[in-house]
Formats: sequence, C-alpha cells, structure tokens
Amino acid sequence: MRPSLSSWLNGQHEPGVTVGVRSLRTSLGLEQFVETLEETSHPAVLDLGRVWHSTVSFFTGRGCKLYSEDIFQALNQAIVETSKDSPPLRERFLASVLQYPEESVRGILTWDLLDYLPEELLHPVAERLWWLLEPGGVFLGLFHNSVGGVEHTRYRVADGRTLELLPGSFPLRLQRALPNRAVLNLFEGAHSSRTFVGRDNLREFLVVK
Amino acid sequence: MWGNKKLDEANPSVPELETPVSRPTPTYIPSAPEPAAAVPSGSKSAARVGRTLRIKGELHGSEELVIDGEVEGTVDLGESRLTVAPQGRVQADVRAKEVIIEGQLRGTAHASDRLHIAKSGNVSGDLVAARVSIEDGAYFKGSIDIQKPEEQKAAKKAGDSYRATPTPMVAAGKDKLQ
Repeated sequence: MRPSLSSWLNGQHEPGVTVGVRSLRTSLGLEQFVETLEETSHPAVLDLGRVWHSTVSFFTGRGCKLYSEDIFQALNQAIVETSKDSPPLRERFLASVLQYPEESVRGILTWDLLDYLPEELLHPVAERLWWLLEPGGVFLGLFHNSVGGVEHTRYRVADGRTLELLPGSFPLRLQRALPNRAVLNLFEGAHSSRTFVGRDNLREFLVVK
Repeated sequence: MWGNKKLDEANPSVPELETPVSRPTPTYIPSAPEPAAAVPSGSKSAARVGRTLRIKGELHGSEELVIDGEVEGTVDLGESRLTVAPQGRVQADVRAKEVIIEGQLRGTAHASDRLHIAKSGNVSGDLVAARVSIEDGAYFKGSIDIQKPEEQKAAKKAGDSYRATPTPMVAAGKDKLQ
C-alpha cells in the first residue's frame, strides 16, 4: 500500500532537509531492507560506505554481523593511481575489493556507489555483488535521477528509516543516471524488486535475490 | 517477498497526493550518541612496547599493555586492557578484556568487554567484542560481530572463535565473475 502524503510527511523529514546541523532523508528502502534481514537470525550485512559508529551500532544492535569496506575510497585510490604503465583499472580494482566467498552475505548496502563507477567497472562490480548475496538476500542501492549538480555524499544510518547525509571527501564524479530498467538489468534473475522515489533526485532500489 | 512483485512491476512509492499538507516545521534532532571518549594511551603503570621495539611471536600476560612499536604474532592479555598507541603497528590476533586502537591493527581482535577504534585508528580485520565504538574518521575494513563474554567463551571452547561466517578476505572465485 502506498503511503499517503500526510503519513509520508508526518513526523518524518523532507528528503535532504537540513535539520539543525544535520541533513536527513527518509529511507523507506532502509526500513524494508531491515525487515527483510530480520527474517533470518544473525544475518551478515556488507556496508560499502565509510564506517560510521551509528551505522555499526544500528546493525549490530539488531543482531547482524557487519562487514564494512569503503569502496568509494578504494575507487578513488584506484583512479588516482592510474598511470600509463598500470594494469587496466578493472583488473586492479577487482583484485583489491569485495574478496568474500560466494553467497556469503544476507544484505548489501551500496549507497550510490554504482552511479560513480566508471563504465568498465559497473557491470563487473554489480555482478560480483550479486554473486556475494545469498539466495533470498537483499540489495539496497541509491540511484540518481540526473547527473547535474550532484556532489559526492556519504550516507549513514540515523535510525530505522532515516539516513544522514554528509559531504563526501573524494573528488569522485557521478558517471551516469541509470534508468530503472538498466538498474534492474544489473541483477539478472532477481526474485523481486521495489523502487522508492524520493523528491531529492534519488531513487532507492531494493532487490531480492 | 513484497507479494512476489515481478521486476516489471517495480512500483515507485511516491506518495499519493491528497489535500495540500504544509511542510513540517523542522525540529532539532539531537545527534547520534557519540562513541565513548577515547581513552588515553594506557595508564602510567601499563607495560609498554616502546616505539623502537619490534616483536615477533606470542605475547601473553595479565597486565595492561600499550603497544607503541611493532608486534607481529599473537597477543593474549586475558582480562586486561590492550592499547595500540597512535604510532603502534600490530599484525596479530589479539585478545583482551578491552582493546583500544589508536594506531594500526591487521588481524583479528577479541575483546570480552569493549573495543574502541579512535579516529586515528586504522584497522583491517575481524572484530568480536561485547561492545564496539568507532570514532568518526577512523579507517576500518573487515567485520564486526557483537558477542557477549559467555558467547565468546562458548565459541572459544568450540574452537571456532577465530572462524567467522562468512570467512572474510578470502579470494573469491573470480572465474565466476569474469
């Protein structure tokens, strides 16, 4: 059932609104992500953003084992280290990240990583993420509606349906704005999916394997 | 899951429009609780691996230890506190009641009580503790598992306390990913 506008707003935050010194957005995707995780005990969750105490505390407090790997930093480093003599970016990047066994995590949080990946990395990384996910596991990603005026942002969990947005520290550039169909095509054989459209140029995709 | 919705039915959950609703007045929301304050690099009475020392092997003991130098191997302090000072570099499996990381740790860490990573901390590995706190700005790559002391003891007895599921940092079968 779709939420009404009043329930959407009641007691919640406008997407991207600055409250006090914090910028917050409501995340229905996160809420559903957690609900899906709670179907299993002690699920393993992979967070591809920067480590934040509040995010760690949120997931471990719900009985999750949390894996944390800042892929944004790895991406920035791989790009910075690119030279004429270096091996292809795809080779270097994939050798250094996401080294986990097949079907080993129940949930993956990519934030808006996939929009920042160069074309040569988009499909290989999505493929590897899908490979890491258990059957029945859930993927949550954020996707931009347009490329213009977007600055690299970090996301951390404030509560079960709220994300806090913080300025990113890397000079990463948004590579594209994927249409819905293109996003879903990244995850072939998905069991189900759900999209949450915000009013802040972001869509949340929740995909179950 | 969600009524087994098919991919084609990906349904934006844009709220349906009703009568205009005024925007809520932003209210101040207090910041998330800050991690526990950083503990100074050990008390004066703590044993210390000095900045120029480099140790390879096993360290066992029951007194507080501060590592300011380099340690490679295993460190087991039982019910005491281990501090990896800002200049300290540890590549080891460490076990203590409290583990405070202000420097660099590569390996696994078990804290029967509290594990804290300061903002200067740089940690790659798997952490098991009853409580974990991480300061903003710290670097961490690995896993975090919250286990109460009795769970940790049971896991240790079962001989699998260092074997987390899934086993992290293992080369994935990349052949499936090409």
